[in-house]
Amino acid sequence: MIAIAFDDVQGIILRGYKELIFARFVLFGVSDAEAARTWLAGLPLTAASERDHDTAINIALTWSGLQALGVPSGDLDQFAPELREGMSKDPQRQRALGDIGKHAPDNWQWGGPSDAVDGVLLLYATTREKLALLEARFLEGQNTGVSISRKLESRALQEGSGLRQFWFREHFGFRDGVAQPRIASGAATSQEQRRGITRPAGDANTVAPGEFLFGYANEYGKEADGAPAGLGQNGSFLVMRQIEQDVCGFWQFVRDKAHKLDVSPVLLASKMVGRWPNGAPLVHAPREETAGLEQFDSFGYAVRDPDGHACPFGAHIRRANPRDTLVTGERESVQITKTHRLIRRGRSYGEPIHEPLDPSVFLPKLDALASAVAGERGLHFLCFNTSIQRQFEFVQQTWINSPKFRGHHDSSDPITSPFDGGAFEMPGIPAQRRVTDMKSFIRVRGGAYFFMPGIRALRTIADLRP
Amino acid sequence: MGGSTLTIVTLVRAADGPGGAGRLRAALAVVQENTARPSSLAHAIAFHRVKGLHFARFTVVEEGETQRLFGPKKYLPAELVLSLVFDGTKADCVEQLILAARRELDIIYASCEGYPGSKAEAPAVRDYFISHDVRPLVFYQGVEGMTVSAVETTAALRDELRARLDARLHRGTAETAASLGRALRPRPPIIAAADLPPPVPLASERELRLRILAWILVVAAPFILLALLTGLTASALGASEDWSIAAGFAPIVFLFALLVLHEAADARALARQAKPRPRDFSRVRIVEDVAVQNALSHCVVVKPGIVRRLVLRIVFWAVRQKVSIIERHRGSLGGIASIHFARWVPLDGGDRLLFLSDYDGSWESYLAEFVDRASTGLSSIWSNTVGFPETWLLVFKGARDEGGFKKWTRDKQIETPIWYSAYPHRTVANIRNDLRLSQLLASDKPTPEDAAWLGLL
Repeated sequence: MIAIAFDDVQGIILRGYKELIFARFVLFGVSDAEAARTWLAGLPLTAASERDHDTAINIALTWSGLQALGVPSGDLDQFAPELREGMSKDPQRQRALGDIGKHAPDNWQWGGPSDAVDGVLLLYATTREKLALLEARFLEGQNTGVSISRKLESRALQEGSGLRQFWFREHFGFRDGVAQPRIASGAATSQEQRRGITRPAGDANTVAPGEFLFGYANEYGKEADGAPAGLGQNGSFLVMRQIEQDVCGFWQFVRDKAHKLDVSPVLLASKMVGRWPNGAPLVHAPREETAGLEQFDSFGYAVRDPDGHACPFGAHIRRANPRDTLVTGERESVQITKTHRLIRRGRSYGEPIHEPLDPSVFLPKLDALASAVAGERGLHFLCFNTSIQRQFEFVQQTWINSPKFRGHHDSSDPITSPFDGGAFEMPGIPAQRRVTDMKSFIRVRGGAYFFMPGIRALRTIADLRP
Repeated sequence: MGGSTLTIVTLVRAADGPGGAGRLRAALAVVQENTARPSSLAHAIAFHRVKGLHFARFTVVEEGETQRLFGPKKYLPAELVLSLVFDGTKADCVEQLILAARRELDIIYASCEGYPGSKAEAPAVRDYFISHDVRPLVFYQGVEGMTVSAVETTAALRDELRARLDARLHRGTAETAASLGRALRPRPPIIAAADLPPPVPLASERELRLRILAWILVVAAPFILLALLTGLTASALGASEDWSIAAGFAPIVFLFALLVLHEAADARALARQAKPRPRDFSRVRIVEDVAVQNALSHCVVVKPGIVRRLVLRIVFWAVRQKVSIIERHRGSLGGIASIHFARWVPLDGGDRLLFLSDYDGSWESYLAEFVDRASTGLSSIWSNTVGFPETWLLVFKGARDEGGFKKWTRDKQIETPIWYSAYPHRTVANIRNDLRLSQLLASDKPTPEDAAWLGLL
């Protein structure tokens, strides 16, 4: 197995930059290719091998951006159809992703059919001030050759201080970003392993590097074919979506439904997520929000919960990552699941409705909060994969959105599905209980598919001559 | 009971010259206004008036050509395919269709060779359709014997019981399986056992293993016989024991050697090919994912030469054995449980191979199952057709080349401008679940465990 070229891979693909809690995603269009290439050449991109920094810079380009910067058509043709077509233009893709009705790209804040995005500059820092300095240094007072169309702000919702300052929640109040695939690497050093980037192959959560990086073998033993050989090396596809969350609406809905079923709202919402707000998975903590399991991720369902009595089959985390219970055989389930994994690097935006962001604390004040809170909040969903079709789009369409996932009659993801209607089913004894007339409390506000090149490949692009 | 099929293949009129297929497609578009509005499931052709019709589709196979070993290339004409899956007899289905949609059929078939025309009597049109039926090489049905009416009644029963159950559970009283069973179990049963297809019990793990073994023996038997025959003949002709054994193996070794040589030559030809420019598949994608089911129409040219033809014949025979010995007792085709109906149909006397299927879920999930679960079976069939990814010994590599196989499948996929499903919102898993529920409740035997049927709600 080939060792991963950490110094050539852009950092955010393999590292979450947890300590850099502020982020700004600057969307831009290329206005002057020559100047833009010079600007690119001067960007000190953060590599996955770098450590102990208080800022980070990474960059990704859409297909139109690659074209605008002068990448030859022979290379452009070799990119996967998803990148070439983009996220928002094709009607079949809109149906597959659920970008219809109120989620339709025509209503997006950015990335819609009439808003061409050429690239995104991802800036990260430990403080707001450092973030501002970083932006000033690389985007102001010079001819960058790019015009900025939008800046997406983000601040991680920290759970507490000390160790917990790097435990993040999302706006509904649940722990986020716990489950991540590890990358198989023959040359994983003990330090890399301790930092959680790579693992030797063989474990259920360890996936071949080619699933996330071009130029390495994927789970089928082949290099992913969605990018040209030279330019693709050490690159990845970045999927970005801005997802607005109606937090008060969600909890009012859950509270009403829980009342009808005579269960606690926090339990019902946790059944929908598959984890308690603190992150403890229901498979291991079926009755209460157990402490000590917040980061726990090395579990399966086949042995402890084959019938979905603890964690329903329709729960968000059991749909997004079915682990060992997708098909009849555990090993086959794990193997199939490995071909549909994503490295998620999402960040929340907007102010939380309450601090601390703990449902048990804010639920009693929910109606007061609902009339008091204003503004938009949600998630900048970012993920990396080498086959947008087989990984991101598949998970979104076949596992999250499909009302028929795993034999269901009419049941989409209770948390992240864009669709209203259908039921959420909770298997149990003597019979399954359901929440009917489900509603969606998210709204897609923007999105695009990008290619994040390796650092040397980006230098090649910067060196292109017309 | 359910599950007959007609594949009506007609030539696009040669009198219309090249481009006849284009005019036919225009006619189809006129008939099927909803090609412009893919989000609508409304149909210009009143397929729903054909009682017992499960699925229907029109698809156009473009003109093409195939290499011959000697002589010039052979021209393959453009053809219109009407595929029907229905309950009952062929004549009845066609007669109902003519009654429901004569005007539209006249418009479409005006572009086809030999159509009796709009003034002809209905029996003449019926005979035209039935005489153009091509028997599929393999026909697979997801839920055996299931009729359209049984799909509807079992689904209605499940919905009704589910609603009653919801109402009861919302009351918040403590319930047991027995108390729920007493309250909900319909008496007498709403659906009688006689109205349901005879159950094909799904085999246990152990039985499945035995069935797989049986299938291997059945498939191996002709080869063993052949070996015995040639060996014994050699012996009778006076060959020594060693030579007789060698003679016995000779035909099989010879066949394999031929196959390996062909595969090596095909691999070299593939490697020589330049990377094609990316093609736009939006025309086939435009009708996908409108409901939970999708249609795949796929047409490929069979590789030239007698060896590939022979191999394909043997493979299809083996696949038919597999469907009847294993698959119908497993409820899946090659491990894929999301297929309502699938069929392989030979066109132009075997020069082309048409594959039609009606499946649940997205194209990507269907193809993923092809790659992950059914690659050997599919490679053994499609490696005998042009452009298929490099294959070794008929079953290895091939469809395991995930990227290459998916690209090839999309590339050979043809448009399905008109497609009808009688129950577009029911998956095979739903149908099987609701059937099982109805069977448990219709049983004459002593009351089955209430927990068993409650678990299916």
